[in-house]
Amino acid sequence: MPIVAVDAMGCAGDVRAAVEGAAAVSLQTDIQIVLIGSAPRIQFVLEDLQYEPEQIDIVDAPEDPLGVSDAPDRALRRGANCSLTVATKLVAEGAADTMVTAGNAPALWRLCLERMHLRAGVHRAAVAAVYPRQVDERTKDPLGLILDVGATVRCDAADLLQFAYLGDAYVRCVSKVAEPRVGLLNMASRASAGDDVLVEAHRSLKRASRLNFVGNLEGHELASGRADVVVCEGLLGNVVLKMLHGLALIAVDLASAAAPRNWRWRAGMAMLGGGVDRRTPMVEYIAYAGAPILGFTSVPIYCDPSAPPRALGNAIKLAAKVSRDFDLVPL
Amino acid sequence: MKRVPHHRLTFRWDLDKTYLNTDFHSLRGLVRIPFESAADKVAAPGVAALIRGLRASAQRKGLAVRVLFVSGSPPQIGRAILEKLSMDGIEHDGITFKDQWSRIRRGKFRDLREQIGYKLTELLLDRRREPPGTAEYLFGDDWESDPLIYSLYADVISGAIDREELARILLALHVDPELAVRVDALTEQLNRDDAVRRIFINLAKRTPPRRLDPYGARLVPTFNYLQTAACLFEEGVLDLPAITGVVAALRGDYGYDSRRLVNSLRDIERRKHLSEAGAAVLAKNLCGEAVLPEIMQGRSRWRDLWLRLRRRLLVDDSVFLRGRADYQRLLPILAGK
Repeated sequence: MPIVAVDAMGCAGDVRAAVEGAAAVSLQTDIQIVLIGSAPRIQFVLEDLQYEPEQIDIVDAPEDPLGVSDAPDRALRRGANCSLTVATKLVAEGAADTMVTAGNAPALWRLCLERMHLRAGVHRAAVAAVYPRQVDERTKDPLGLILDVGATVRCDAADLLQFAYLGDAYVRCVSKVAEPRVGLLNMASRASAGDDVLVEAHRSLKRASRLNFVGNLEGHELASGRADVVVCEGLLGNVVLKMLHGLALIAVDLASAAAPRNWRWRAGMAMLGGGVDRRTPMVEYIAYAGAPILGFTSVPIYCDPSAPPRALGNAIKLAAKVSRDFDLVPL
Repeated sequence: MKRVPHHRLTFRWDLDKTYLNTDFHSLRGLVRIPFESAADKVAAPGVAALIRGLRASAQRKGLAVRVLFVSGSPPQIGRAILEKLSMDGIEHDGITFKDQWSRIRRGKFRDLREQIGYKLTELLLDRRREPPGTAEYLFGDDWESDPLIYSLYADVISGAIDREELARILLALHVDPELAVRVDALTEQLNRDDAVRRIFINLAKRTPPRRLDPYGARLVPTFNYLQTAACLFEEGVLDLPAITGVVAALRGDYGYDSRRLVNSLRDIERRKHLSEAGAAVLAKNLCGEAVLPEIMQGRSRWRDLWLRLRRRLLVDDSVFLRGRADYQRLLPILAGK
C-alpha cells in the first residue's frame, strides 16, 4: 500500500482537520499515513479519535508552519524543519510515495521543483484542479480537470501539449475515462483563434494521435462537460478557477440573503436543498478539494487551507490512488 | 511505591472480543454463535502466541503461573471454546461461563445481560484461592464493561476502595442487589493485596484511547497484541523468545508487514504506556533477532545507549503505575449508558 505523507500543520498550525481526515482514512482503507507536524499536538488530537495505529506514523516537525502569505524562501532555507519541508523531503528521499498538504502553495511548488524529479519525458510540471460541470450521463465524472492553474504563468505550445498528456493520463487513472476528451481554453472555437502560442498549441494537439482532442473551448463551454481535460496557461487557469469559486460564493450568498426575507423563499430554498444535494457536483467539488501537481515522479496533492477533514481524507485517498495507478498509464 | 516481589503470576482473560473475534454485535452473528465449531472460531491476531508466551516465560523464570478465562457466554458453547483453545495450543487453568439457564429458571431475567456483578463475583471468588504474593494481569476489551469490572476488582483487592464506596458504586451502576451483597461478602473475606499490575484492554471497537483515561495509568488500552506484548516485555513478564513468537505469529499468520508492526510499537510508546527506554531495549532486541527492520531504531546510537544505561542504573518502578480509577468521573458516564 502506498505511503502518504500528510502535512498536518497546513498554514495555520491547526492539526485537527488533517488528523481527523487521516484517522478516518486509516479505518476505511489500508493506506499508510505519515502525519507530519508538531508530534505532541498531533498525538493529543489523535487520542480523542477512533483510528488504526498500524497505519499511522507521526514525524515531528516542531517549527511553525509557513503562513498563507509567507514568502516561500523560508521553506527552502537549509535546516528548515517545518511540516511542509519535512513532508517534501520524505517524498524526495523515497520514505513516502506521495504527499498531501494544505500549506503554503508557492512554497510547495518551489520545494517540488527543488527536490523532486520530473517524470521521464516531462519538461514542465503543472498544477491541476477539478471544477464542477454538467454531465449528460449519470456515470460520467461530474468534475472536470483544468490545468495549469498557476504553476507556469506563461506557456509555449509545447508546454500546453505536455499538460494535455498529463491531464489525459490523470483522468484515465482517477476518473477511469477510457478516452478523455481534451479541450484547449481559447477565446473562440476556430483553429486560428488566439495568439501564436494558442494557434500552434491547437495544431500540436490536433496532430497528437494519442489524444482525443475536441478543439478549442470557449469560457461558457467550461461547465458544459464538452471536455474532460481543459488545457490552458497558468495565468488563465488561475483566473478561471478563482472566478468559479467566486461565483459559487455569490450563489451561496444570494441564497442566504434571500431566504430570511420571505417565508416562501425560505420554504423554497429548503425544498431545493434536497435537489441540490442530489445534483452532487458542487458538493463533491467541496469534498474533493485536492489539486494534483502533475509531472513529477510523485503526485503531491494540494488542498485548500480551509479544507475540512472529509476533504483532506479524500485527498489522502486520491494521493494513494494516483501513486498506485498513475504510473500504469503511459504518458 | 515499590512492589512486593511476586513469585506467582495469574493471567485472567476475557473470551469474546479479547481472545476470540466473536461477532455478537449483529443479529446474524449472535444466532450463529451456538452452532459454531472450534474451527469456525477466530482468535484475535497474535493472542494465542501471547498467551502461550506468557506461560512459557513464567516457567522459564521458575514462577508458578495460572491462565484463567472468565466469559459472559453460556456453558453450552464451552465445548467449542475448549476445542479452540486446544487447537491454538493454549493450556489453561480454568474457564468460567455464565450459567444463563439457572438465571432463567430462577426468574432472574435482568441478570441475563448483567455483566458487572457476575464477573466481579467470579473474579473475587477465584481471588480467595490465590496464595499471597500472586501478581495478576487482566485482559479484556472495550465492548462491554471490562475496563470498569477489572478496575473495580483491582481497587477492591488492593483496598483502594472500601466496602461502603463499593456498595455506592454498585448501586449507581444498577447491579442486582443480590449480587451486590455477594460481592460485599466476598470483599470482606479478602486479604488486601495490591496484586493487579496492569489491565490490558483490547480496543476491538477502536474506542478513542483518551476515553479510558479515567481508569488510570494502570489500565492500558491496546490496539493489537503486539502493543500488549511490548508492555509486558518491558515489565519483564514476557521474555524475548515469547515476544518474538508474537511478532512471528502476526507476520506469518496474519500478514503483518514491518511497517504495521513498527507503527504499532511507536503508537504505544507515544501514548506513554511503553517508556522510551523500554522501546529502545525492545527495538534493539527485535532488530537483533531480525524480526523487525532497522527502521524501528530511529534514534541515534548514543541516545539509544543512554536510554539503555539509564534503564539499568535507575531502579525505575514507574512502569508499575499506581492510582485507582476515578469513579467520580466515570459513574455519571457509565450510569447513563
